Amino acid sequence: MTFLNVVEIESALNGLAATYPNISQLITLPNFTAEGRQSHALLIGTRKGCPAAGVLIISGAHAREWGGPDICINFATDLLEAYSGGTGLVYGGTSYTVAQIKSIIERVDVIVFPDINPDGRHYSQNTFAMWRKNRNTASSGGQASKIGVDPNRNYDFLWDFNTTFDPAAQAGLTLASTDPSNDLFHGTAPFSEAETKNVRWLFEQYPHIGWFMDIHSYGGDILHAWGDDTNQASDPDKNFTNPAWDGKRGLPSDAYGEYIGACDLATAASAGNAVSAAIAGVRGETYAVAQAFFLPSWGSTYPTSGASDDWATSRYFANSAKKKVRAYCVEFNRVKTFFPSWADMEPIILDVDAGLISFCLKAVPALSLPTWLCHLGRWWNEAIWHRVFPPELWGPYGPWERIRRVVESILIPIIRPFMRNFRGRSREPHD
Amino acid sequence: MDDQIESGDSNQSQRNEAIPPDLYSARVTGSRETLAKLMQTFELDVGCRHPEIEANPDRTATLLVYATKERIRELQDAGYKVETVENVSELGRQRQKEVGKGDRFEGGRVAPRGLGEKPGQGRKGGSGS
Repeated sequence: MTFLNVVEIESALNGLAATYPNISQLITLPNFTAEGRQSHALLIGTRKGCPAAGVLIISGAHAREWGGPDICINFATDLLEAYSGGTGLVYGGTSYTVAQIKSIIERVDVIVFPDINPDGRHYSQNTFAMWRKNRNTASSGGQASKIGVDPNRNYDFLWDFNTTFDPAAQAGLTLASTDPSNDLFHGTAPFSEAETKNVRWLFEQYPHIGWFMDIHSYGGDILHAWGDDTNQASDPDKNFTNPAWDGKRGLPSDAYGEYIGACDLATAASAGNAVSAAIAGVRGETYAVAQAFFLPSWGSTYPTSGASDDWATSRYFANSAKKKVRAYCVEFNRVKTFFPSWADMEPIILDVDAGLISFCLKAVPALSLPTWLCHLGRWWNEAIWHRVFPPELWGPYGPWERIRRVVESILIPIIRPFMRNFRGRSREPHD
Repeated sequence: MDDQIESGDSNQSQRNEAIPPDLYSARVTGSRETLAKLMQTFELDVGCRHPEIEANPDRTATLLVYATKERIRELQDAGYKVETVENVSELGRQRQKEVGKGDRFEGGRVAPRGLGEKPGQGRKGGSGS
C-alpha cells in the first residue's frame, strides 16, 4: 500500500463512478491547471429529486500535505461500499449504523474533490517533496524560485491584505504574501488560480452546499470561522465587507472583531466537536476545535487572508441570497510531519474518515413537511406503484407497450378507411 | 495525462531549473517575546496554517520551523537557540518511494477498496488506496 499519485486519484474517482453509477457521478472541473491537468470531483448521493443538503470536501491544496487526497478517496469508497452492501461502517471505536449511512446517501449530496492542486502534488511526490504551492509560472519572471501560488491564500476573502489588515498583523508568517518567492504568495488577484476557480465553480454549480471541509496537515486541529480576527456577535457593521475597518483587522484586543451570529458560532463549534469526538473514538486521538484566528496550543493569534474556509463562510454574509455555509479546515496528524510513512498514514485515514462521516451526518437535513412528502411520494412510487405496474412491463420499453404498438399497427390500417368515410359523411351536410 | 503535459507547455523550461535547496526542521526555543520577535523579523516556513509551538516547563516555548542550512545559521548568528532536527527534504525523498507507481486502478477499470470495516461483509477493505 502506498500514497496515491495524481493519476491514481483520477483513476480512483473514475473507478468509483463506474462501479456505483446509481449513487455517484463524476464531475469534470472546467479550469485546467497551469501544467494542463483537468481535475475531477465525485458527487455521492441518490439524487432522486427530494431536497438534499450539500457537503463539499476538498483536499490537496498544499502539495506537501500528501495524505489529504488519500483520506478523501478512502472516505468516498467506504461510503459507497457501505451503502451498496447495506452495512454500517466501523472505524476502530467509532461506528455508524446502516440507517446513518443510508441517511447520508439518500438525503445529502456529498461532493468530494480530493486533489485540487495536482500539479503541486506531482512536483512534491516526484521532485521537491516540501513544495507547498501550485506550479503556476505567471509571476515567476522566469525564475524557478518564484514559481507557484498558495491556493489557500487565493480565495476572495480579504485577499488584498495590505489594504484590509493592520500592518502589524504579521504579514509573511501566516497572513499571506505579495512576494512570488514566498510560500504564502497569494497570486495576482482573488481567484487568479485554476485550483480556486474550480472550488468556486462547485459552489456555483451546487448552490445547496451548506457544509464545507478543507483537509490540510498537520497539527490535529479542527478550525472554524473566522481566520482574520477575533469573533464578535454584537456589531454587524464590523465585518469584512466594510471598508471603514480597512487597515484595522488582524489584531486581537482592539476595536475590530469579525461579526458572526451567536447561533452560527454555536453551530460551528457544535459540528466541530462532533467531528472531534468521532476522531477521538477511533483510537483516542484528540483534535482541538478552535477558531482559526487562534493558535490552539499557544493562545496567540495568527490571522489569514484568502483562505478557503473563510471565503466559504463569507459568501452568505456578503450576499444573504446565497446558502449559509458551515466551513472548516481540519489539520490531520498530531505528529508534526508532512511525511508520515504509509503505515502511519493508514490509522490517520481511519481517524479523519470517521470525522467526515460525522460531519456529513451533521448535514443531514431535518425532515420538513415538503421533504417528508417528497420522500413519501418516492416510497409510494417505488414500493407500491412500480410493484403493481412494473416499469419493465408497463413502461415505454415494456411488453405491453410493444403489444399496444403491434395492435395499433394492425388495426389502424383497417380502421382508417372507415374513419375517412365517417368523416366524409359527417362533412356532407355542410358541403 | 502526463504525456499531455510533456507535449509543449510553457512551464517546461522552468521545471528543468534548479531544485530548491534541502529544508531542515529546526526547533527554536525561547521566551514568548523572543519567539514573537523571531516570527516578526524572519520570514519562516512554520507549517500549514499555524506555527506549532510547545510550551516548556521552564516557561519557555519551542517553535518548529523549516529552513535551509543557511537560514538556520542566520538564526543562530542572530542569537536564537536553534536545534536542527532533521533534513525533511531527505525524509521526503525517502517517502517518495512510498508513492504509487503507475496506476493501480487502471484508469478506472478497478475501483478502490475502503479501509473502514463493513460489518457483515466478512472482510476489512484496503486493497485500493
